[in-house]
Amino acid sequence: MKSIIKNGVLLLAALSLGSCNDWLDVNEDPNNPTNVAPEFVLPAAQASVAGIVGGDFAIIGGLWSQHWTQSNSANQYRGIDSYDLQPADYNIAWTELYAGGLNDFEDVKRKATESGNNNMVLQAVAVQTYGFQMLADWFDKIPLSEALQVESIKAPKYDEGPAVYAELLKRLDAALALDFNNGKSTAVASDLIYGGTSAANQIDHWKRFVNTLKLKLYLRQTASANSAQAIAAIKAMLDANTPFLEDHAAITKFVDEPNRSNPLYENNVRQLNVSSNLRLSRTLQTYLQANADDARLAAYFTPGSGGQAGLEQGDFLSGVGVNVPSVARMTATDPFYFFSIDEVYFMLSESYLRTGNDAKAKEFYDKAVAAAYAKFNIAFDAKKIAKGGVYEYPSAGNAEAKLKAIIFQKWVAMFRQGYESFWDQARTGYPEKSAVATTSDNYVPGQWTVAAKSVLEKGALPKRIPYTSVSRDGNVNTPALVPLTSKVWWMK
Amino acid sequence: MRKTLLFLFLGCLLIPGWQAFAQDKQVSGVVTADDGSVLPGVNVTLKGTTRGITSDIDGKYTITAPSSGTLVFSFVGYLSQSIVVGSKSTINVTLVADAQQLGEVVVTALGISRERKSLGYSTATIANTSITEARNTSPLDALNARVPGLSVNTASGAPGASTVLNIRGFNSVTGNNQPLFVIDGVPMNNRGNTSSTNAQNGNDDFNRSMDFGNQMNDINPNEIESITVLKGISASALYGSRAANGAILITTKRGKSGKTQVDISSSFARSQVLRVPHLQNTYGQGWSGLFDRIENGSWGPKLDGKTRLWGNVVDNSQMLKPFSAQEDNLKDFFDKGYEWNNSIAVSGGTETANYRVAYSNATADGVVPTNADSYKRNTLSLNGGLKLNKFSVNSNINYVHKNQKVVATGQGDDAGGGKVVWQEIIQIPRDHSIVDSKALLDPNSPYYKFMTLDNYFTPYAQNPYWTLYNQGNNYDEDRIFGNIEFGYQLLKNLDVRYRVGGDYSDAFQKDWGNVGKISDSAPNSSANDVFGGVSQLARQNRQFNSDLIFNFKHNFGSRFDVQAFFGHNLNERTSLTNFAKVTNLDLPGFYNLSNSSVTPTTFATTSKRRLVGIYGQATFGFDNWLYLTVGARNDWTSTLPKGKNSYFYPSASISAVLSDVFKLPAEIPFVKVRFAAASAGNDADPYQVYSVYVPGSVRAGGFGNINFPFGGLNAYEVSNNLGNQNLKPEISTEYEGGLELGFFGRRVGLDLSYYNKLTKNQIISLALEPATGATTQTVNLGSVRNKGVELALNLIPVRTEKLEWGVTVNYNKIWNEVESLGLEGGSGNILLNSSYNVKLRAVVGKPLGAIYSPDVQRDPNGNTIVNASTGLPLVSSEETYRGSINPNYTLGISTYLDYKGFKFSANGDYRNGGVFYSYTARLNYFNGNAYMSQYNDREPFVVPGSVIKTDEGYAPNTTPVSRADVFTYYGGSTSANEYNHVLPKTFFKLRNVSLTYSVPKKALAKLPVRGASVGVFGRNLVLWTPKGNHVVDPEANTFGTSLKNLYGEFAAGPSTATYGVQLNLSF
Repeated sequence: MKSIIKNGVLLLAALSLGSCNDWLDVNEDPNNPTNVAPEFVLPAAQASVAGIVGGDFAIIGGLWSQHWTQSNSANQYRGIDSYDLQPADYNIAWTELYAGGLNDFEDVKRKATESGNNNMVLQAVAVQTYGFQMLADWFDKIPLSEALQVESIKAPKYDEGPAVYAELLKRLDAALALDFNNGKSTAVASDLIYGGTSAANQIDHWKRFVNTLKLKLYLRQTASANSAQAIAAIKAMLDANTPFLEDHAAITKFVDEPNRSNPLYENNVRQLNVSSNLRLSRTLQTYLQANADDARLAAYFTPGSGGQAGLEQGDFLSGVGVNVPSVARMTATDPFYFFSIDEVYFMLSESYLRTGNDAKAKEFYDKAVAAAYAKFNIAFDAKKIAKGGVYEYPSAGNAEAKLKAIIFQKWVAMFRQGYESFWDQARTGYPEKSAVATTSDNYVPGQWTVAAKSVLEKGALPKRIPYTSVSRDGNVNTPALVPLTSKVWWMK
Repeated sequence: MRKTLLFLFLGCLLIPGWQAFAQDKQVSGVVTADDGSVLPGVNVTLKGTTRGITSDIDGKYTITAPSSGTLVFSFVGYLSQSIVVGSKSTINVTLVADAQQLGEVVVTALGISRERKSLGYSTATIANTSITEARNTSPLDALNARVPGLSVNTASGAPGASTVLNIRGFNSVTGNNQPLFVIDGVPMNNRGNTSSTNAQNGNDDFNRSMDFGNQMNDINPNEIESITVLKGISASALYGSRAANGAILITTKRGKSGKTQVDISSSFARSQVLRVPHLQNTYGQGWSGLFDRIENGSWGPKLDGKTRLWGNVVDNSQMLKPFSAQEDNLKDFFDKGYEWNNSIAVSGGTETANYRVAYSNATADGVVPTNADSYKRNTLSLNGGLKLNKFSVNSNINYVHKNQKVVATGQGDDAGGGKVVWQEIIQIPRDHSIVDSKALLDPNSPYYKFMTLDNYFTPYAQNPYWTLYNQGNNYDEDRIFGNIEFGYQLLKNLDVRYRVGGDYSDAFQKDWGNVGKISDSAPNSSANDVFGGVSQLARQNRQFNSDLIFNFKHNFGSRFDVQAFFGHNLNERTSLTNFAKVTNLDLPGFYNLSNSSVTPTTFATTSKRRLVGIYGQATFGFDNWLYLTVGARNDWTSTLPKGKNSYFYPSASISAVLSDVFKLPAEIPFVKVRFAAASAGNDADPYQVYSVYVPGSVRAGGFGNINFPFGGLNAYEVSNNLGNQNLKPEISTEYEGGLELGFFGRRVGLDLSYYNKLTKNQIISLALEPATGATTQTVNLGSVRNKGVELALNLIPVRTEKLEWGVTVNYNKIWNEVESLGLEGGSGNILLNSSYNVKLRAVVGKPLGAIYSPDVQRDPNGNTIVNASTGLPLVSSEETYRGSINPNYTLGISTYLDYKGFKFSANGDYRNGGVFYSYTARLNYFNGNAYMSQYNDREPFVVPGSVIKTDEGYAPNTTPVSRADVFTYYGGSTSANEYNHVLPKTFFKLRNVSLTYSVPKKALAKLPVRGASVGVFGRNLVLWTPKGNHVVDPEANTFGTSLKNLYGEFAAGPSTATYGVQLNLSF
């Protein structure tokens, strides 16, 4: 009997399997393409970096650089504003950047390299590196040399901070050195930032973007052990008349509808059940008011019932009335700036200052301050930077005084790009840390206070975001947690 | 060549079976039951042959048989009898009712009937009477507490709510854990229809989630002859991959030979809220101990009955209310629901042909005011069979139309369809009468102006009547399923059957919510505007199944018999989904996709999977007491990588009726032991093998996205789900042993099973480190073991001529454990779900479905460590294991009492142990409504048994929690509070109670009515939960139909109790 069953089974198998393999060949996903040309991947990758930097990072950046603070009648960002970050808090950012944008750029890079479109390779390297640097600055060590190779490496190691910087600069130089006259480096219309122009024009812009990014990477290292080499590299770039950005590098295509708006607005206003979490910090308020800069204050914040009023940084349990502290302004169609032009000018001003060209430093400082007003469509009164003006460049002062002036102005200008001023402060010490609250008679307007409900040791400011739990859950090589007060390698 | 092979092969079969009976003669007679009534539909078969007929409506039969033959009379619910024909030409038989049903013929896998005693594994059959006695609209709900090892969970009391079945515990970490549903031998779709506004594809997100039931609930219970539960793999393996979690076989009613019969059955029932949270009634509106006229919470002062002004000032006026508890304010919000169930069936037939036509209508409206929760179902079924000499054909076609509306649960979505009623009413202060807000519906009411969105008493909630009257949804489904089966008696011992079946459904779902704009100058201007939205979802599901089966039966001499079959199976399942959604409606109250200037969200998906299987099974019987069954199946699936998509799994079982061999005391007339071992494979979901690109949609951080098309550009991303070209099938292996005993004239029956099942190579969607470039990959990892004991005890303590009383007790205990996850190096566990900081995980060494939550810090003695300056507990950074989502054990009890045509029956179940997550508890603690938030009169208190950390160790704490911190203690943002949101799952529920009176046949003699009965019934009349759960029905769930279903609820609606009357007539 068993042999009958066996024969029967074999027979049926023979009968059915002839055509069976074709019949079963239906496992290719009909809903999603298996191969996509890189120009269709590029814009998603660019948007991914813009989404996280302009969304999550803009929120923490503005809180930690004391532009705004957590409202006392809501609680969305209490963790950030009391420096009480949990490993899960930045899982989304980590995931969206790595598995979203940076990985997509890797795909674009590979395919554009194969087809020889070096214009597209340059674009991919540029924004991918921009994203990697953001991660490196928040987390210190990050996976880089072993990252984004999922087929072969499931537990990428974390590279040391200096090695990450060195590798990123190497990648930028390699991209700049590509042959753009190979006849295949055609224009990429789907580029969200510079699409729609000629190939030559686009390549020129992206080279400027990469040069500016290099400058940022070097400037970041001025307080590190690498300082001398970094400043020498800056000098070499300036001496060689390296072209830098001459206008905002931005995504401006946001519209006022769900999931197509500026990421900060979408994140903090549209999709949240309370849209007034971010309120004026007294740190910024005191500085602007001390300098009679009410126009800028009005451009940044919507006053409450009693006029412009700030909340002590991190004092979210304060009993001040619900409608009192001014609410941070933001709209659905605000641009997202990879670099705003005032930022570029401030960087150049600092670069010239550090390489001994004071005249150029002043020139770019003056341009930067004016551009910072223009960015928010605020009428600029040139008297502010003229002799005796509140924001006059301290030509008579020493280098430190000049640096302080540049970084203070940059801080005020980096509203909604607060991460940059947070890192500037960690690198230069400006604005200085105040030992007292803004309510004290001894308080110097603009100096950073420690958040009122800080969970860190007394007097400490946070320096980093903890390594994420989404990384740890899947990776044995994720480093052990380090205190929030531990400096990122390049910090002062 | 193929033809030659086939003939050769058939030849092999013919030779041993070449035997014939000579000298057949006609034998006839009447079959009666032991109560004297005639028994129609009794199977009369000639032993050792496939020859057989059924008795007609008057119990009469005629069959041709040789003198040497033996006639076997069998009927569900009665002991079979075998009678040697001999010289007799009339054989009248009286069948004895068998409470244990041990001698019955049962339907096994693939529609093959076998004698129960030959089965080496545990099955359970539930007859129609049990399914329909309490007039459940859903046939699956009726299975509750009936079968040990079968767990039944109904999502809510809403009409048409989902029912999730699970047999012998959860096996699959992230895959399907539901049994396969089979109607008349053909596998059915059982798609769950839980969806939410954010869910891309029937996902179980908790924003405005809607439960439109699962498809198997849409079968008309009246047309079910019986339901057989195949629990172990050895029972179900021949159904292939999908039956690794057991199978539920539904046999539909067929026409019987005899006069045309018309059956009418009708019932009407009312439903009301069974459980709403048990809340405190001592403290009223306010926060931090102070009255606050616009606060939406009960952290205010003690209720003193004094009149207070409250709410917003509108036109210089304000409302007054007594500051006293509105104890039933939640219950008062709800109405009584109703349900109508009507069906009519016409059936009849001759010896060669039969038919049955049935129509049913179910109409229900749930407990929420308006028809926002309602269910309408019409079914039409046609059954027919024809027997022509050696050829037979049977066919069954069903049409179902369903229309359903549900009230959304979970959290609201202000950017789209809006808020959720339940979440709005559950937070209302204890002194506020919710029904007063109804004034919104009457613009002439003096209170109207206080009830509008602009002026409602609080900006933190929306008037629930606005929510109710400005949102809605509609779900329509058309479904056709059925099968046709051809049979041909090739030889005396060999027949062939070809069965082809299909299940086709089209569903259309629409959900909408109105624009709720609040004027800038209104008192509630700080509240969010609701932008309004419309979404439409069209779904199509197709299943095609074909089986070609050769059946062979033969007796070798008088002591050996063989029953064998083998077959070939093709299965194809396709699905299609089209979705479109717009938000930001322009014209209020107009719900169409055109009514928005924003870019719609759309997606369209299709999916197809195919499977080819061959299978065979043979049962060798020895002397009618010892049976050995061996079987095997091989599948080729489309969803695994090419060349690696074939898998084989064998099964074997032994059954021995020892009482037929050994002389046992008269008190123990029946002893059967059985043992079975089997394995089954399971394939993956489609499209997990190759990597793809997906439409561009990137996160903007914690909330919101940037979606493409954007800026006039379309874009794709590399999918974060990495393909796996090495995917293997998931394999389950099970050993099962059992003992069946009958005592005392078989008035005591015992059925005991023990099983041990291991599911290896789990197909899991594994989370990857995102820095690799991908976030998930479907892989084979880990194993889960389920061991269990199932015990069914049947007792008939009283059996006299007039009175019979029976009791059945089911006990079920499962030891479930995740043995490995293969995640060494990672976190060692898989996160399955999370709500705030409460997590559902798969963890090695724990049951599958382990709930973890934060806890306070504790000293080595378990005392709470508090902050020395505030007295508030410190939060531990480690999460604490809180328990399994599975019960410790379950106990099902049912009883019946028969007295002169009256039949009383009741059943209930007690589930002990397990925990679940309750978001409703979270809300209650947050807003001060929680019963448990009244400790020490809400005056400052020292946390009982608390300690503080000192340099030397720990010292008793003396710092009280301040008045201002009482809220923080219960509902503040310190996450240890989430400890209180995990509740015990223990409960007892009285499922069904019914009393039916059947009018005696004598009384009907002069009427054209053949049978009549009337009755009353109730369902879910009693729910008991222990002290630890003041909040919700532990069965409530809002997490879809996967394993997460048992995780708990996210602002689920209330469960309901139902009671009604029924009438059944036969003509």
